[in-house]
Amino acid sequence: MSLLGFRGGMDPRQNGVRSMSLPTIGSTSMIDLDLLVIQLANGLVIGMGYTLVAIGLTMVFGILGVLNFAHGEFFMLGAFVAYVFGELMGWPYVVSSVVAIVLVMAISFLFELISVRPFMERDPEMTLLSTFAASLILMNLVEVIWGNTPLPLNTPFSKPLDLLFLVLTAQRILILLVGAVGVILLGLFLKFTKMGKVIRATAQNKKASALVGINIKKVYRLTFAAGTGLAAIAGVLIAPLSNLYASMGQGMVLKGFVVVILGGLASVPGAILGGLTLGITEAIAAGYVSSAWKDVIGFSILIIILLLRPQGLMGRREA
Amino acid sequence: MNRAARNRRNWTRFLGLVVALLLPIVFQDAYLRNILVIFGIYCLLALSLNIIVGYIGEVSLGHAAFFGLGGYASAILSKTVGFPVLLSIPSAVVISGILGLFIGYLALRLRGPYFAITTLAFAEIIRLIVTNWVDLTRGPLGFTQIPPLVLGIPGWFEFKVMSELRYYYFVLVLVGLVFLLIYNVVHSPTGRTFLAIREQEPLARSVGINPFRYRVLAFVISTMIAGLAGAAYAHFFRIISPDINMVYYSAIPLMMVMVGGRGTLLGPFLGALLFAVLPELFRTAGTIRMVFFASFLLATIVYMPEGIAVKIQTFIRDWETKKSPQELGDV
Amino acid sequence: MALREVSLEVQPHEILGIIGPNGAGKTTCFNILTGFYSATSGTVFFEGQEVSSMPMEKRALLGMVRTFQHTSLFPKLTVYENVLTANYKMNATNLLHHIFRSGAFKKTERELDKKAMEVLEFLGLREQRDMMARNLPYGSQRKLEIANALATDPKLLLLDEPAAGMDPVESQDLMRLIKEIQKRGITIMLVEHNMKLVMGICDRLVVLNYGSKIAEGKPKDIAQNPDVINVYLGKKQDSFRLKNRG
Repeated sequence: MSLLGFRGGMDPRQNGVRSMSLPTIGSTSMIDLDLLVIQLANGLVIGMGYTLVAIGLTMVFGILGVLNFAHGEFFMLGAFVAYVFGELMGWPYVVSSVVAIVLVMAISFLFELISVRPFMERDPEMTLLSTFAASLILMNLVEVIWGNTPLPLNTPFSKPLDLLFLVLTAQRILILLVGAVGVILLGLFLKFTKMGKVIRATAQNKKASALVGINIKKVYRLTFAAGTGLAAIAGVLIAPLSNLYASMGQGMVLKGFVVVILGGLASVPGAILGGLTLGITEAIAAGYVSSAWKDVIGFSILIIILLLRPQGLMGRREA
Repeated sequence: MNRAARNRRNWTRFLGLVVALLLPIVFQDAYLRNILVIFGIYCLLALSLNIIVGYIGEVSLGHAAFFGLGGYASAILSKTVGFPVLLSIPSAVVISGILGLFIGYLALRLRGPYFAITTLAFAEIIRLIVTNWVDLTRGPLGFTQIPPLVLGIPGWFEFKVMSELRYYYFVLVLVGLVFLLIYNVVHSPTGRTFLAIREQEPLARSVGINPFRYRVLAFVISTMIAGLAGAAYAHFFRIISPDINMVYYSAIPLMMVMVGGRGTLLGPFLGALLFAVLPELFRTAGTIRMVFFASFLLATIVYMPEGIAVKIQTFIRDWETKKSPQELGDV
Repeated sequence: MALREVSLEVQPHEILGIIGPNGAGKTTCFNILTGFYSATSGTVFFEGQEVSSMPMEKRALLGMVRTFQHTSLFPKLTVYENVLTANYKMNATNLLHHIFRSGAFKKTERELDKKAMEVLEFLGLREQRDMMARNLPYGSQRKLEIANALATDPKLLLLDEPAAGMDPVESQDLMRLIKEIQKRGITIMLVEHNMKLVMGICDRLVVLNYGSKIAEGKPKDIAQNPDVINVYLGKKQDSFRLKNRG
């Protein structure tokens, strides 16, 4: 057992270690292997969440050329809509989740109509501000409706499962499973289905795709829906781990940006790798340094990357 | 610019100044005067962000960092370190400028959304530092009992600037000085250079202008003014908390500048009027007012992206050109 | 690869023309010389100093100034304001002077005004000084572009298709103007398609095709150079042959 007499903070759902509430363990002079494994596992879990959010963000950027500042709000909305059906109306978790995801995708359709489409032809750079404004609207609307006390989202998957050398709740395993399956399905979809190929073609060359008769607007809408759908999935999966609050999307989208830039814009594999890497790095930092400063790491990485490789993001380098 | 337009512009400014000076006489109520002080501080914030958004042409989403930093710097220097407030405020301005130099030097290598994300990331880092470095900043509990502004020499004579009335005039002086500063820069060769960079960057470079250096310069000036606004805020309310670093204080100046009219001298004032006065009038409404403001911002971006001030200017220009064919100037 | 092994030299006070079919790499040549693009290999020297790693703005301060094909003016400023703004070298005085409106500031403003008026006078744009650049007739806009470049007191002026879109009268005026600029001691390099202009004022020519230099020399020699004729007239010859085949 660890030196402190308990394995970190036991959260109400009886996890292995909840790195989020872990006090500094800097006093140990040996690397605690158990601790490391648990940190890695947690990092992987949260990293999967980052990955799902980042894939959506990077796809929307790759195909529409828009960096959606409101992306985090769809993560948040997924969780809140699931809350409405799950907690307020008593529906089972899985059902409310699916309903939430579908509804959020519908909302995103409206969102795209108001905040993105008017600018795509005119002045795409304005989408920065329009999506930012939209994120404020959504976030504050949610706060108006549900207040700012954190809300719970309960899941039937809260039982801890013993996997050899570590204990994880089923929910966390679910996140890993759903995440992995989702990513694989997405990959297969993009690679082998007709629509997937259409999307990839549009990402590579919009003008050529349009010339060949591809309905670009439809591709935009589909991509946007898929991207926000993934964010909503992340939302319903991760929300049960802690609490829901109106601004939970803000932190998430920032992490999403870090991942997108880490992994390379418009690169889905990059988002996967980047998301998991960020999650693990944060978890290790939280375990061995301090949980308060773990967020700083992510942002610092972001800044360093943006500065070391700006030409990778900007296209042709000028003298 | 023809004489009639220049005269009219000068008269408008003079009138504006007179009105500003007389406002506290009209509004005797302490609560309303409180709003006036906030309006003044918001004017400073808007003027400062306007430099980045309007004159450099980039959207910064992290302006709250400098506002908050200025506030905390002055608060800590005056309370913990013991500086007189008359010294801690300029020091805070300088500290904001230094941070602005650091962040600007790094972030301005990027454009558009990447710049925006970087400023957001920096702002988050600063917010986290302020929240977690509890020994220095008292953390989430907030920094209290910030000394008031005292003019004069200790021991000789002291003039406390604490009441809403006095503080309003203090802030008005600050706004006036900052406005004069910006005005002088805009109507000078440096101002022309900024314009050149914004309008035709390749041409600017072809005549020897280094755009990056100028952007950093503008950024530093902007952050110094934001720091000043933060310090003014700290010594008026005399309590600050890490909330001062939150997205709200980055979003509000952005709204002020976008709706008011970026790149103009009048725009920030209009925006500050709108967003300083309105929230206070609707204070009871709570969070929902943010929904309205953000919607208002969105609507403005869609229907009037240049902002109110520019719309007014274009309107006046069109109206005047019907009378005389000469070109007219800025309001 | 846009340019391949192009080597050229400009002599002081000469007018060097760069010609060649579309896509030959003429503007790319300018871009590399001035530093707008960075070359993948090779060096650029200006007045004996290597400038290959200098950004465009630094080269401009040394005296190497170019015009762009469409955007060498500020559309929303007046003609006078254009030239005033372009005169960066003189504009680059101390910011503190500007803020505090010192005597040095006032003096600089007077000098700037003088220089601006002088340049406008030289180009015959004085009457239009208060017109917005985007409202100018096309020919005047091209002249304004040159005015902006001249305002910087360049040593080497690179003009990118200055005669594009001009009618014969305007081109004739331009020829006279460029000669006048040469008389002031400024070296000129010129990318142009207008053969009459090129033959009329250039001291030497360089001919590019597909990114390589295919000929160099005095205009009358170039006009008789078989490689050059081939490149320009080759297509016509082909179509002639085809026609005759029936």
